[in-house]
Amino acid sequence: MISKKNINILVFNCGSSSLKYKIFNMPSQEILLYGEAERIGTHGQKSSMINHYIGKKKERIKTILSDHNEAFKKVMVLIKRDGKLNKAINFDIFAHRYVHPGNSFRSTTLVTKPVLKKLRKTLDLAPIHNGISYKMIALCSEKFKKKPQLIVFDSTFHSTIPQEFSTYAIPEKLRKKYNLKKIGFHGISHKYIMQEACRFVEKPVNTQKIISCHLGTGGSSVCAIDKGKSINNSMGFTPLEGLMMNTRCGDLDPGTVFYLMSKENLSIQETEEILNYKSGILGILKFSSDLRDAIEMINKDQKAKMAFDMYSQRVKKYVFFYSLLLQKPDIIVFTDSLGVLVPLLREKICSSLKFMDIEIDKVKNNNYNKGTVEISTPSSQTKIFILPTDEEVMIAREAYKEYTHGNNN
Amino acid sequence: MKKVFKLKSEGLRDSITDFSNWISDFNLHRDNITEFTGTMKNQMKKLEFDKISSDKFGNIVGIIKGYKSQKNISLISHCDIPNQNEKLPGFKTDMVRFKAGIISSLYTGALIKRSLLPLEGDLIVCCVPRFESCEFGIKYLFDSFLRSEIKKIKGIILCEPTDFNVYLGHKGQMEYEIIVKGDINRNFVENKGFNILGTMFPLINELEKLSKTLPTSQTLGKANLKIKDVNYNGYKTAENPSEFKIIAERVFIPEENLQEILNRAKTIAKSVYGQNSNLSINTAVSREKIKISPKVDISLKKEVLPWSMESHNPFVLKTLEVLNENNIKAKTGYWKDILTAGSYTKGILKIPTIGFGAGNENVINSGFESLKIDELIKAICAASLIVNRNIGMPAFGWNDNDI
Repeated sequence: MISKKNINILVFNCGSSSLKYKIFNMPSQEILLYGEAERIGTHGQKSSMINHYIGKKKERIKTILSDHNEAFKKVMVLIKRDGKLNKAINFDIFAHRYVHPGNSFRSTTLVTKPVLKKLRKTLDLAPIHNGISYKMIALCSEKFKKKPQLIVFDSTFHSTIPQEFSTYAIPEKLRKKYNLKKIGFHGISHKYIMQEACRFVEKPVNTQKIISCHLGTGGSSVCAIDKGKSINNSMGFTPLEGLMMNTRCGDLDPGTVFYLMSKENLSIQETEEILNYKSGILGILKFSSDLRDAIEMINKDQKAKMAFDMYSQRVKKYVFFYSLLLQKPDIIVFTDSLGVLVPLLREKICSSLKFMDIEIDKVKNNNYNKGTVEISTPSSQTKIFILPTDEEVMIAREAYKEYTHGNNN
Repeated sequence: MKKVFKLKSEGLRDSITDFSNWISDFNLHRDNITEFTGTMKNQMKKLEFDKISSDKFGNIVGIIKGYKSQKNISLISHCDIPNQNEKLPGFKTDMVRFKAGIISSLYTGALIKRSLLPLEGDLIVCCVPRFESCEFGIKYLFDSFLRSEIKKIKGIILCEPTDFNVYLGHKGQMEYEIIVKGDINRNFVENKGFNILGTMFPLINELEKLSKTLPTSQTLGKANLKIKDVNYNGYKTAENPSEFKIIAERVFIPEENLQEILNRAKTIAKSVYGQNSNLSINTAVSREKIKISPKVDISLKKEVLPWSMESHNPFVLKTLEVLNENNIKAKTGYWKDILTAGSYTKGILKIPTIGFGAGNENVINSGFESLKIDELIKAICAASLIVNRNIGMPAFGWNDNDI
């Protein structure tokens, strides 16, 4: 490990058809450049492109990106080009987000050959996401042999969830054989929320009890954080458990699954497709999986009202439960697209929490513009914040911490 | 999964179209197999197959590596005898002629690779370019090149026309000869009609009768027999006695035994000519000579075994399941006319084998094969789903959105 110093970190965050990248100077957290390669390997009316930003300068580069390999090469060419024009633009290490390492990794890890081998064995835990991240890590190892790479795991933050919350009540033999337990996700985001909220209130993380509501247009989860440690997360062994999401059903009586399979003569995959891709907001609303569409029609359409009520009530259920676990939270945070951009949702979730001395200030809530803002009333004993998440900077922080100190977590 | 494959297959559309145009225009014959093999290998390299090789017979193998050392799936395609000079009525530039199976297998590998969806075992894409004797190409592939892989193969998908159904076998086909030798023409009186035709006719008549009594398989249909040719040498010397041959094309079902078919033909011939002790009667499977290189010829029996796959095999069930889940209303069926590598892979090697692909076998057999690129892409997506269902890692609870 090296002593603390000024380094640049290139953070990658991949999707099945996208590659987001950001170079951070650390520890200053200054963004040197960032961008996203879009529609990788797809072809349709809209061609693939790279949106590349340095400061306020934006480039929109239409190009063929046949696969992640090509996207990676083209992004690296852009970075190299910018580095020639401005010597400050370079990077010392890579950092990657990795969704689900199972029990194999419990902290941010420097990539070595044995680590890559071990990582390979975790692909089946989240084949879609882990497969893409693994590919990018392997690609960086191959093309930039001398650059250190660090992997930041999305589930690491939840490794502190106590057994009584993470254990499923199914036979021990099966539980152990397949390591079936609550894993919890959005850990990078929830950790960022914890750090930033504590920074905002100027209190150490090990003194604060926080409920972090990561409410996205894709996935959503709520996390209970007790003095710097995650003690519960609404997602489970997979992201299907917990809140109702855009197309995911969230919590459901397992009996309904078997009933449905039996009545409709469904295969495992057909059933999974229903619960994972056709349920949630889409299942109720039918025409859209975006809660904002439901809100637009809330006064005219019964289904839209139903979708909104169901979504917000389920978040509220977890906020109640986690308030009990934490024995009154110090802070509740709303983050990600729905959490930040939909005041009605925050209002609905916080309504009727007054008996727990949690009270939202409707004016502040409705007038939110940007950044971290407190939206609770002065009398509320729990502070309520809107705080946009930033997973990339959190990945950079974790990677920096591990690279310079080697004692993360 | 379907969404990922659909999106990524669109990304491959231009490459599929370009390669289809090249392969449609390539007039494959035995002298340019090396060129064909080289281009196929280059294309596999471009499409980022993990391992690419070819053998002495011109077979090409490309592998998409799995992440665990579990069982593999193999896609097998071959070249049909093309008549590329023929102009097709209604043929358009967005269509592909010939070798659709090769394009389909190649791009199924590419699509699996581009999807970044990890496999537990390897996907082995095999292309057998020799159309003169595909069975030999397949045999060579498995006996030498893939010998060590046989036990690790979970299933084989033959990229043949099935109209998006899942085909599970076909009847066998052989060509045999009944050879009657000896003092055939002693009593010929040409001007009174006592000639070779009169001698042959009773046997032909008996074979015609036999063809009407052949057995039927519940799944594969009826066996049949056709007289393909007759041949008379006309000689009559001590060293070279007179001889005539009746060459029959026999389509047979798994319940029939190849040796018994020959024995029965011999028995019939004996019943016709048995009173003449000067004649010898024999039956044998016809043979053909194949030139595999300028200096090497091989002689092969003209026989292809029947095969059928058990419809309750998990490989078949999973395949049907994934196709139907994705709105490809696939049924099981059997090829009526074409013969496939399944005779060797299932019939001899006992590896679970199915057929899947775009196009109708009757159209392809007619020599007027053409297929829209859209149909080809649909077949590529569907084959990728089949591969993923059988050796992919289940992604329960995860979808392709960000979590």
